[in-house]
Amino acid sequence: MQPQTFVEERKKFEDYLFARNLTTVDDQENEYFIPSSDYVEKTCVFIKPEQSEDTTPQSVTLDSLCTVIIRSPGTEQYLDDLYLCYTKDKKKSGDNEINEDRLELQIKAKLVDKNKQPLLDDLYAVYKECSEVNWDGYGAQPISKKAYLEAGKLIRLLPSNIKEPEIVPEPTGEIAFEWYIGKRFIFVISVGGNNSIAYAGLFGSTSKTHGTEYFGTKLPSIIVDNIQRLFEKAK
Amino acid sequence: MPNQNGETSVYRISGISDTEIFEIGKRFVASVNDKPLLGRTDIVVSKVIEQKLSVNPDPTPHHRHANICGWPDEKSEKRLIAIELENHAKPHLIDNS
Repeated sequence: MQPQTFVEERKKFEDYLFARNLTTVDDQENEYFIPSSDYVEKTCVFIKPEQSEDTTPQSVTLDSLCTVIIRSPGTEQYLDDLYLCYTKDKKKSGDNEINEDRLELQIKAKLVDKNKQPLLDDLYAVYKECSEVNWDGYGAQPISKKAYLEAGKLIRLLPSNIKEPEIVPEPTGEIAFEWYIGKRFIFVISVGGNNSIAYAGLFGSTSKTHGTEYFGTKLPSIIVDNIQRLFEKAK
Repeated sequence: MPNQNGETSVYRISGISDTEIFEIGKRFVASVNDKPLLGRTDIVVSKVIEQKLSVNPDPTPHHRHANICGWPDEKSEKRLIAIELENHAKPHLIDNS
């Protein structure tokens, strides 16, 4: 049996999860907590290093070592290494067995189109590079974790037949996605982690559009329509 | 896109050479931010004014420095203006390889 995977820092843990199409969320009101058939819910329990074999809930901080217990074994093959943690612990715990006192970090995973992984990698690189204040030297706001998560959700919801956009960090802390076909054929959308998408587009010499839409669990149809419109107009 | 103060920092480059332009970029942009200079984008002021924006001189840290001001508050409208400007801008990238 392979050794249980430990990740020593919160940041490294997030890197570790991201490489497996997992994200962490720590805001109970965040929509990423909404269960759906597309998502698999897991619980990450942070434990003290000296008690690594003991999954009893501890009073710990997020900087402690951690292990992951998977409560939904449906993703065994996809999450091989994480599943090893699960099998080692032999903890087939159900929802009713959750100890409310323990510190939990909930994780949601979604199986994604593997073709989207490069774009998700690009997104993460942008997030890492621009998550500090003043990343552009002009007082830019940092890209927030909420913006990053929302951008990841957007990528996962983009129809797979749509050409990859360019990811652009914004000085307002938002993340923009730009499709540039040529002169006056541009469509840009941006998210900032507040459940809305702002969009603007030029479709040739006379046509243009802009607006803002609510962004929940589905990509607004007007966004998809405008992306398709861009490519059709540019033909 | 403008910064959080609603301004976009620019330098007026009329009448100076490429070398002088990049020197300004290196001295007052790249070195201040401890980042390499990757390039610049040029746009004529008339295209900025066409979008109902203004170019206001702001001679700090250099007498050619200015800010594009007058951006609308509404995010998507701002975005539309930004891509209109992008459409008229001419990029000059530096080969740092």
